[in-house]
Amino acid sequence: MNLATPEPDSSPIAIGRRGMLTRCGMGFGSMALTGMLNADLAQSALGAESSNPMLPKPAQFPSKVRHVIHLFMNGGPSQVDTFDPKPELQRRGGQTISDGNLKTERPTGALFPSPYRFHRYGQSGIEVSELFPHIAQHVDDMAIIRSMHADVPNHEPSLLLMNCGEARLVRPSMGSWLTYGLGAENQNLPAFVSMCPGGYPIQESQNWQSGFLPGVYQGTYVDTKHSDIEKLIENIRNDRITPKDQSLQLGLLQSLNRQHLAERPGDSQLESRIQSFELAFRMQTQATDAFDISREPKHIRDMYGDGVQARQILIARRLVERGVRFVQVWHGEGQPWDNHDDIEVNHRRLAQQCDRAIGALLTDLKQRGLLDETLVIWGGEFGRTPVVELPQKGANAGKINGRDHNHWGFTMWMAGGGVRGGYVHGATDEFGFRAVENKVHVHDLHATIMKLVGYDHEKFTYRHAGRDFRLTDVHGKVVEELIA
Amino acid sequence: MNIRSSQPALACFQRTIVAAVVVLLSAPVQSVAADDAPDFFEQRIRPMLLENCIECHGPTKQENGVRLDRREDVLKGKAGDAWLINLEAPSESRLLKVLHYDDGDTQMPPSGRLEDEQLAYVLEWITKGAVWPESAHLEGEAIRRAERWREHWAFIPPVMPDLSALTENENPVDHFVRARLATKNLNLSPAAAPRILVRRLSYALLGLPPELNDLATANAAATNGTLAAWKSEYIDRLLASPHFGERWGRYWLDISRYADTKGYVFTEDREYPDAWRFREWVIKAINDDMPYDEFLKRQLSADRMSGSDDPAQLAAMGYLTLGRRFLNNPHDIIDDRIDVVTRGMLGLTATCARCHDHKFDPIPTADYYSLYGVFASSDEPKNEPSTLRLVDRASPVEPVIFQRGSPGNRGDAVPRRFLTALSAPDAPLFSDGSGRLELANSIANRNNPLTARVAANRVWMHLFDRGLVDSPSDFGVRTDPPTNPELLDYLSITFIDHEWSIKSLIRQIVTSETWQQRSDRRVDAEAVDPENRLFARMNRTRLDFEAQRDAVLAVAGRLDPAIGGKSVDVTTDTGTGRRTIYARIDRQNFPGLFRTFDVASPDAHAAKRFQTTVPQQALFQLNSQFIMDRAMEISKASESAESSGDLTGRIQLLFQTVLRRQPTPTEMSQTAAYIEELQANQQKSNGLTGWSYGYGAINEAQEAVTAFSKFPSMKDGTFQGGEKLPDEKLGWASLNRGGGHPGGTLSLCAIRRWTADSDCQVFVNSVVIHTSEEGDGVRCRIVSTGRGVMNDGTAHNSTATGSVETFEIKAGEHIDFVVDCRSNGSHDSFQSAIMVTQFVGNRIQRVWKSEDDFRDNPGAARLGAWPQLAQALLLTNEFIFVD
Repeated sequence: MNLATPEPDSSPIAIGRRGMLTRCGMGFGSMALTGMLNADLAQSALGAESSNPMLPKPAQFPSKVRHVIHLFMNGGPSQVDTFDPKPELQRRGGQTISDGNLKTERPTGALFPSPYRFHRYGQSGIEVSELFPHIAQHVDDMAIIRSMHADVPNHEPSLLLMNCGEARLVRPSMGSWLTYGLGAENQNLPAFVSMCPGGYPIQESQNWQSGFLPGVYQGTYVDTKHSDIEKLIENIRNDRITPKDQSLQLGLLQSLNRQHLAERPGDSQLESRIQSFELAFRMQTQATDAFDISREPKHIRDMYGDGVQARQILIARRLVERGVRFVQVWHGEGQPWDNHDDIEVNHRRLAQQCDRAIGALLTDLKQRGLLDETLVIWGGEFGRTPVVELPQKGANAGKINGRDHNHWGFTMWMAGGGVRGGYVHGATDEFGFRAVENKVHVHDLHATIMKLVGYDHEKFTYRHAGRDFRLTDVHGKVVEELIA
Repeated sequence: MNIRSSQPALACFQRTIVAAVVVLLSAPVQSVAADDAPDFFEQRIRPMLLENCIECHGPTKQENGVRLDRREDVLKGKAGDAWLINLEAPSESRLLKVLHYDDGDTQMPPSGRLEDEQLAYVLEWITKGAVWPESAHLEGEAIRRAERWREHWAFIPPVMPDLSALTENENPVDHFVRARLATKNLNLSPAAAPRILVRRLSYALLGLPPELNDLATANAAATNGTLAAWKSEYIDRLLASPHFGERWGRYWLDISRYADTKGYVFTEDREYPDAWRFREWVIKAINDDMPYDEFLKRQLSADRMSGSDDPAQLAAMGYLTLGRRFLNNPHDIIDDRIDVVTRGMLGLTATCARCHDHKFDPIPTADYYSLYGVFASSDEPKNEPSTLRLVDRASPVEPVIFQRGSPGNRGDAVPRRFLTALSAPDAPLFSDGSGRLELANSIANRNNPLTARVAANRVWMHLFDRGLVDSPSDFGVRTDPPTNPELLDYLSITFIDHEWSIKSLIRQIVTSETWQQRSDRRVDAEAVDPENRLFARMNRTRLDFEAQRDAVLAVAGRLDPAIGGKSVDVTTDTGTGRRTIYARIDRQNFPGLFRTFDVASPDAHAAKRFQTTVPQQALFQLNSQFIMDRAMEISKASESAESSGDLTGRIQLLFQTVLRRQPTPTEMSQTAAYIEELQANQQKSNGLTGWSYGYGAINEAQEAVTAFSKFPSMKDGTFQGGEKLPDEKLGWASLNRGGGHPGGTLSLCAIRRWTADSDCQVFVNSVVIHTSEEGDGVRCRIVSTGRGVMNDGTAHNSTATGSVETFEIKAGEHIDFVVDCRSNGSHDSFQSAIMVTQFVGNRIQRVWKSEDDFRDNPGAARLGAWPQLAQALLLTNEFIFVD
């Protein structure tokens, strides 16, 4: 049941407001008390040899980008139905491609025109299909990459490639790399959050794995189907001890710890653990607050709309506002965008679930001055074929109205965070099958994202098993044109 | 250095110049150069070529036909169609171009652009005529360089160091540690106190807290001068305990990337149903002190050794077979096996050589595929009693190099054999089946310079929290020598000579004064050895996750002493008393709890654990069911020690139980004050905080709830008058998670009561929905102690919302949400949701939500003052750290 909540600004606890205090991960009261603990000073407070791996660190070179929101349309949205209009495809619907179709996962047939209409938007006049009228309002802030390509037409390796830069072997995900590099801006929240309603996408938590990096850099999974904070973050709440009692308990604990420390001076690991309890105590209220969208004013909630997509995308904004580094928002459990058949109905349904909220997210980030420092990435693990998928036993029940996986060419877009707005990069062939112009491989996208966040992807490495590893392995070239 | 011309063809004109240059250079040029030119070459150019180029463009390899170790090749350039050095226009030299790292051109060396200064030297050198002293063939030196790994300490067999200076009864460990300390004018710290030592030993060898009895007898032994004998007996007893294998077995499970599942394999069954049998084998082998060479051999080739018909012995091969399955890609599965064998047993990182020769270590790609051939020739038989074993194929695979690691790109054939760098030049190739048994014999071999050293270093690392070599699974050429090379050599040789006995090795170390010294800070040593690498004191260590959880179970009296058995999901079964080594490890979705506490990732061989301190660890300690349930058990066991009016007895018992010592006077007074404050608070709030569910009436004149009584019964999630609804006495009056029903009279209002646990401020929002046209609906009021009715509404086929602005409330005061039937007692079912936002100062303490907070049995699980104390003690640094 949705309760009417007083707007944060009118309540005496304006924690929702952005600013130094929340960014530093501090409650108001404790700020004065333990002023040393803000992000910049945390290092000295915890001691130079602190074992807290989440202390904030600078990137390799200056960058405005402090946060990333990755909107993952898992399953693979169709480029020719969304951001890559193809007049030739419309004209020649029903015909077969004379050179034959590129090989994808399943058998495919004739050219299958998009059922949706495209319109021009913004000053840039970039065309977007009718599926995304709200996102389309922001084309002037978006760089649309129409020439993405990956390696194989299968979900599992493509998901891992998109997330970890490697299709099969165990490697850290992009969010883990960035968290490892930058640390946490807010010590009271997980630095890397991966949200997916209803369960896991395929490949499950490997998508946000930390690989050989320390486990703390792994994404914290949140099932946004729930609205109850206890189900969102492990051990965040205690209903067996009252907050008042817990603060007394913590007082006793820390007093015992201080006596213990006094007899063992100069041991920074003891000091770190003492601090970690203070942080945890504050985290309980901060995290509860961050995931509770009922604390948003009504006009904001209305702007994002209803439903689970609206909820998790609004949570994403609340998280980056509070200093979370990397937020991944998956559309849903399994592979919702994988429309091998009935694509017209299904893509429309899926787009309707998220279009309004994504549009609202961009508006909202911008109006709060957060868009400059937040890189928003949209896309799937690959795209879909411009040709129709042919029926296959046990697969699509004899329907001939869907599209197969397509790694040869697909579209992704980025916005905010130093991205060149109102820009279309690269192109697919006349039908939208294969990237042909200014091709961008997933490794190149990673290299570019790294650069936007302040890293030279070739120099951002981690030594493991005798080798210096990086997100882009031995590949990747920065696409400078995408950078403003 | 890979140099090729970027120009497609050269004009005749240019060829002429090449020829001219060569002619010019053949003799007289040197005479025009300055006299210091040879020195310049020696100091600036020669080291640069050796450091950056010769590996790929020298005597062993001439990538792209370019060779840079001999003057004539450098001057000649490549195959006559380009020149490397242009004496006419030095800055146009091809050599300089590639060194310049221009976009769109070849960039050399591949490891990164040289410093500008170095480039300037090259230009200067060419400008001055590229003087290259006749004698300076780099060939010999380049070959020596390529062979330099032979001088690396880890590839030289250990030598028994000189023990002649050993004093009587001196443990050689102490002798070598003292010798290193003496070079810095340091010495060992004094011996740790008996109780500290007992605790240290118990955790180090068993991973469990010390028995109270042992603490007491150690103290007694110290008093009557028999401590040395007592310690010796105690160490023997711990080494003989079956719990020893659980502690040290877990270390081996990190090395062998143990998990109960395969990882993501599409929709296939992910379970390794027999994984636990491997764990069982490891624990037993360690408890039996199986010689370490046999321990390794069995894990590689139990199918070829005694007991090969015994599934319990064959389970040893889980070391190879329990890895991730990488979408069932066979090359990746083999790669994982090569990794777990080479890093796990040899301390070498061989998997780099999957795509190219190892950059630093003497492991060429050919060696990788030699091992690949061994594992490709070993199959997992189906439908066997033991699913963990491998057997040799009838006809072994004859491997070829996969160039750049790509199976489609087949290169030269290679034999199945052991790593060339660790083999004699005339060592035979593998010929016995797959070669796995021969591989096992090559690794578990006293002549292998790595195997024993790697094992001894790991034992040292587990005992001191830091190895003599910092990278325990990488002893390659870039690894610094041990901080105490003689010590590691001594331990390795002694280890082998004592029949590879892990227990003897441990005994030797833990009986040393080095291991038994105090862990207190040494200010004098910090200046010269800030990281305590020379061991002027013992390191204070933090218990790993397994020991933390096991210790909590132990002090709560809940530890299940059974050895072995199947895996248990300790993250969901919070009541299990099984030791943590028996925790089920799901590789695909490795529980957040394990990651939070730095448990080794089961994705691949884990060389050592990370040690992080993050607030999520504290959240688990503060709020998890596991910790709170144990705290309640510890508290319950201390009840008998409480006597009326005197808290000290019970406080003493709790300290004794958890921390295994008596509280200091300061701790006693603080703790007593804490308990008193908690108990006083609880009295103030009548032991009631948060939500309670009852019925009663409103005294309209006083605007106060009168005669609040809790519902006597809870049935299927509803608080009500009795077993059945309607109840004889209370009628339909009832409350559940999302709503309720008032009784049929105004004295039977349904009352959801919220009680403040502390002095604080609150604001309140509530909604009541009534959805029937029939009857006259319900009246809903918010009433608070001392403030009367704060909100009053009616819902009849409609929604009533109520909110109350921020107000102060004292501990123990109530806010009652009262719903009555109005004049008509039927059709009064309602839904409701209430939110009480509680804050102190301007910080939110908690947002109470009537639906989320609803519990069938409110208060039963709550922790009273004593359990809260027990929990606080479990959370102390003293409990978690070992001095």
